[in-house]
Order: sequence, then C-alpha cells, then structure tokens
Amino acid sequence: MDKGKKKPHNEWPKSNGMTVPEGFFEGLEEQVMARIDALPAPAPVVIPPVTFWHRIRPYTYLAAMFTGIWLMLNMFTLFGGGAEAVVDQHSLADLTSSASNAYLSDYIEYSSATGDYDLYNNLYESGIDIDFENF
Amino acid sequence: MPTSTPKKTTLEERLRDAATRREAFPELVREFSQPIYWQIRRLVQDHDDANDILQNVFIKVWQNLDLFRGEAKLSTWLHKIAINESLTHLQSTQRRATESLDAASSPNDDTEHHGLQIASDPWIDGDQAALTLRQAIASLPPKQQLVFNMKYFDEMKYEEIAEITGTSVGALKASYHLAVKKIEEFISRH
Repeated sequence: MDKGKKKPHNEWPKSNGMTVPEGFFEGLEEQVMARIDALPAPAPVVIPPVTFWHRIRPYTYLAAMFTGIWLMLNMFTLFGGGAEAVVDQHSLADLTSSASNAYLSDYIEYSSATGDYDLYNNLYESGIDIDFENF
Repeated sequence: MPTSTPKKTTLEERLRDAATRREAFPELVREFSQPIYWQIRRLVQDHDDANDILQNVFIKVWQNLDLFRGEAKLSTWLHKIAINESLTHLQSTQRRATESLDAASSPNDDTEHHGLQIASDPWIDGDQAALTLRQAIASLPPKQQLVFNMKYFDEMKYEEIAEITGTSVGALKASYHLAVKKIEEFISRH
C-alpha cells in the first residue's frame, strides 16, 4: 500500500459551503423567546384544599373497619349464645318429656297392680271418656 | 474546557427550576443555536426550513423541560429532538414530492430534486468543491447523511453519535465508511 497516497476524503473541504443571512444567529434568541412568550400559559394546577375531613378520613376508615370486625365477632357470639339457649330449651323439654314418660311408665307399672278397673275409674273421674269399642 | 462543566450543570439546574427557567432559556438558545442549526441545515438544505425547524426545536424543548431529568446531557437531548424534527420534515417533503411526481418520472428524481435545491440555494459561499460535496452528501439516505455530517463536519466521536442516534458504534462505523465510498463515487462522476 502506498503510504504517501492520501485518502480521497482527506482532500474534501471541511466547509459545507453554506451560509446564513447576516445577523441571523444574533436575532434568533429574540425570535425564539417571543414565540415562547406568545405560547398560551399552561393551565394552572388546581390543588384542592385539604379540609378537616381529608385529614381524618384515613383514621375514620380505619375505625370503621375495626368497628365492622368487632360487630362481626359480636354477631358470631350472639348467634353462638342463641344456639346454646335453644339447645337448653330443647334439653328442658326433653327433660320434662322424659320425666312425664317416666311418671306415666311408673304410673302404669304401679297402677297396673290396682287393676284395670281402678285405671278406668280414675280416667273416668278425670273426665276422660273411653271408647271401649275402638280401644 | 474545565470551566464548561459547572456552567452547564448550573444552566441545566436553572432550566429545571420553574422559577429560573424563563431567565435561563435565552442562554440555552445562545449556546446551542449554532451547532443545532448546522445539524438541521445539512440535512434539510434550505435555510428557511432549517430556521423553522430550529425554532420548533427550542419550542419543544421549552414545553418539555419538565420531562428532562438530566440523565442524558442537555446537548444530546437537543440533538435528538433536532434530528427527529429534521427527519420528520424530510419525510413529509419527500412524500409531497412523490405525490406531485408523475408516473413517468425516473428513480433519480429525488437526487435531482436535491441537486436543484442546492444549486438554487442563495446562502452559499461559492466554493465549488464544497458545493459538489454537499450534493454528494444530499444523494445519501438521510440517516447516512446524519452519520457522515456528525463524524466529518462536527468531528464527533462514534460513542457520542451512538448516544444521540441510539445506534451501535459498529453500525455507525459501517454506515460512515459506506457513505464515504458513495461520496467518492459521486465526486468521481461529477
């Protein structure tokens, strides 16, 4: 390779041959700023005023949430207590019923010794009419 | 220059601050109007078009200063906006030219159009070699012109061009050498 040979682009001019009107760059700043000043002003950002409600709102929500949880827990407790009461009532009825059954059973057992006549007599005295044909 | 960095940082800070922005902006225009103008002018050729685009670039910069976070250099940001505006202008000009050309026109019409535009430009210094070089550059695709101009006239490093154009250094080197070859061929023919 011939080292003395210059690359073609080394001989090209470094100027692009273009010019600008006299004073162009000096007047540019004024033109640009005039255009910027003529631009419509950006819409002001309206920041809503912070009221007392805005300040306490998060705490209110928090309180409402805890109240809700408390109410929910209470409701479960209430339903739980009711169920127990119902169970108790049933238990009492069962107890009463079982007591009656026991009484009747005892009555029949012991009264049977007295004979049917006494039973019928007692029933009659109690105002219970016995239909012997369908008995 | 050792003093330029703190000054530029100060300008960027004043531009980002809404209170000092209006006062600092003319300084930005003074500092960057020439390099940005020449970058645009070399692409679009016409002085009036270059002037319009340049002013639009500054308007866009003004309107988007809040988006400038300072991650990139202010000059890089300006160059990017200028390139985008110039390429958009070239595309719309080419589209208009294509629409106005009749079906019988040759594929070289675009190059001829640029040649005529350059030849009729009143803002030239009369240097014939420079005019031929300008015509040769104008015959290149816009992105190749861009790379050639930044490397040849602005003497930018490939890394700087890569940052502005978002292209890899390897691709830029290839693009530049291809542009040089095409310009050599153009000059040898004329």
